[in-house]
Amino acid sequence: MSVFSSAVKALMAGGFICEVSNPESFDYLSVPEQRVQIDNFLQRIDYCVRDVDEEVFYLAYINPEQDRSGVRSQFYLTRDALIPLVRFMDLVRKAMNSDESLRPKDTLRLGALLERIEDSRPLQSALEELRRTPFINSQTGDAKLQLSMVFKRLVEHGYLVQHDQFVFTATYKWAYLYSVIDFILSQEAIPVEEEEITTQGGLI
Amino acid sequence: MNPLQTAGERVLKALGKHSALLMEMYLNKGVLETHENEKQLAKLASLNVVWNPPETDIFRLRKSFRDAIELAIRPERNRQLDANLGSAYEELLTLISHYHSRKKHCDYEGEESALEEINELVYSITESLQVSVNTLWQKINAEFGFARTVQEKLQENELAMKRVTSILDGLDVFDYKELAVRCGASGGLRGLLLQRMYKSTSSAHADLLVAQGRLTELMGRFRERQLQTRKINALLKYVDDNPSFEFMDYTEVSNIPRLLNVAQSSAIEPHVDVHNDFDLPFLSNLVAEMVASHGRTAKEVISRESGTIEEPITKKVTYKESLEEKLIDGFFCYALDNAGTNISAVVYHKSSEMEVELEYWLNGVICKYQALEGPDAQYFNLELSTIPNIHFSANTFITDVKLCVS
Repeated sequence: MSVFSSAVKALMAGGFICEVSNPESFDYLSVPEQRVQIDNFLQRIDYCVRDVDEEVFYLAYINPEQDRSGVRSQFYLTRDALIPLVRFMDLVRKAMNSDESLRPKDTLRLGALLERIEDSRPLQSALEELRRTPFINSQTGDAKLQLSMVFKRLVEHGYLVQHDQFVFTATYKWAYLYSVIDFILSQEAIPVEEEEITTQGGLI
Repeated sequence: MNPLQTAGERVLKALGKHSALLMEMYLNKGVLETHENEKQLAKLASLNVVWNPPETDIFRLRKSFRDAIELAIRPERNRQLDANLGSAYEELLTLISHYHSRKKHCDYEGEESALEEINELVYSITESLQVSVNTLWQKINAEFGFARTVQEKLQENELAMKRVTSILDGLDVFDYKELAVRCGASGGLRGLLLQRMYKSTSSAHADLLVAQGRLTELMGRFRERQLQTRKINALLKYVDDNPSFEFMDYTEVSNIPRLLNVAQSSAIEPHVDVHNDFDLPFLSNLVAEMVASHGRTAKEVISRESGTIEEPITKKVTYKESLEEKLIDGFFCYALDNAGTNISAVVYHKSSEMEVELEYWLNGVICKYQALEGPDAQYFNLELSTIPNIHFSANTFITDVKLCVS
């Protein structure tokens, strides 16, 4: 199968193509002439290629208003996943004791994360809450089982790529999610805290 | 002898004599006073090298000595360029004038020694410049990976920026026109200063300008990351503070926002061409596998081709089916209650003492499983226990089915 063909099929299947999820198709789409070729092909069936900062490509409608039901069902998927995904980011950040949220290309080690969660009652509660969400919807069980199920769901929905049993990489679908978060915050007029002033140069 | 020199030597000798103890204190942030080290510690305390926090047995290094050790044993810090490039330049000019005056007075030995000193100074300037630039690039390339948090990365970035600015300011002091005049006709000096040193400083200058741009870019990225974390916190806080909050349906508006224009998966579902004899054996195997592992998919495949079931048959067995259905539903509920374990349909059949024949029962369970749709289908897994048919190798008999909730 040619890269053109596999890239088109991956887009048609609703995939978010990036250097982590599908490097071959991503490289192909990153060449402007090749992207135009794919776009021209898709336009004949009312689709086009969209991107977030040229880091991730996905399929969109040429006339979204005419394909409103398709847009709506995709939006519902993102909407229902949004809060659980944000809770997951928060869980990872707190577990890894970092002030930085999960980003594309970050490596997640299930073992290390599990160790931190098992050592902390609040993190266990956060995981429990996450597991109950319809997006994750996993059965009860120990933290390991719950976390494995969370990772499994994130792989299924294209947010993580699994390398081996315990090592995962975040895809650029998170970059799209960050754009959606920005959109929601501005639409709902949710206030974001101002930057903390932490510079202590004067004390040194 | 100068009393200051004597006092200094006494301190330095003591440091050398007790170096092992001092390093132990440096590494462990202090040592406990024991009979063995009591005298040594008293001596070091009298020299103000160590101190004893009140009401403790612990002796710690004084901050200035700890800093001195740290400075000496960290090569990166130790080799950093003295920011005062200006003084190095002044020193260079002085040495050049020594060189010329010694040459003028035919002091060949002195002239040679001045040239040697200039050589050493040029080497020191170029080497430390190179080390500084390399260290800086290592930090930039690793995106300050050694810092634990974004805040620390930002602080390290700011420090690196200040350092770049100070080195660039220092390099600006180097006036090569003036140096060219000062070198005069001396080939040795010109080669050293106008070629070697010029090449090195101009390449460092160019490198530092690139590094400056990269640091600004990194700074922006780190701030963006901090902002993303704050946005996530804001969203979570808002959702937690407003439990009844629901997102608006932004797809209802007349102009759908560009960001939300994501197409639904349009993967074309495969259909089997059962009329193609050539592919029949392959397709039969494929369907057999699908029946075994993906009940729902198999059902879809079969349903497209099996629209010929006659109505009267279903009517005749209506009562029996509904009874069976209840029993089967009971079995699926039992499996749900015992999630994680394989529930044998045969064992359940025996224990329930139901009137339904075992063969119908197994068939019913399999059909029910294959009829599951949507999320229900994802919960259940059905495992078939089979024995091969001795007459027809491609066929098998189902002896039991095990249901499991994953």
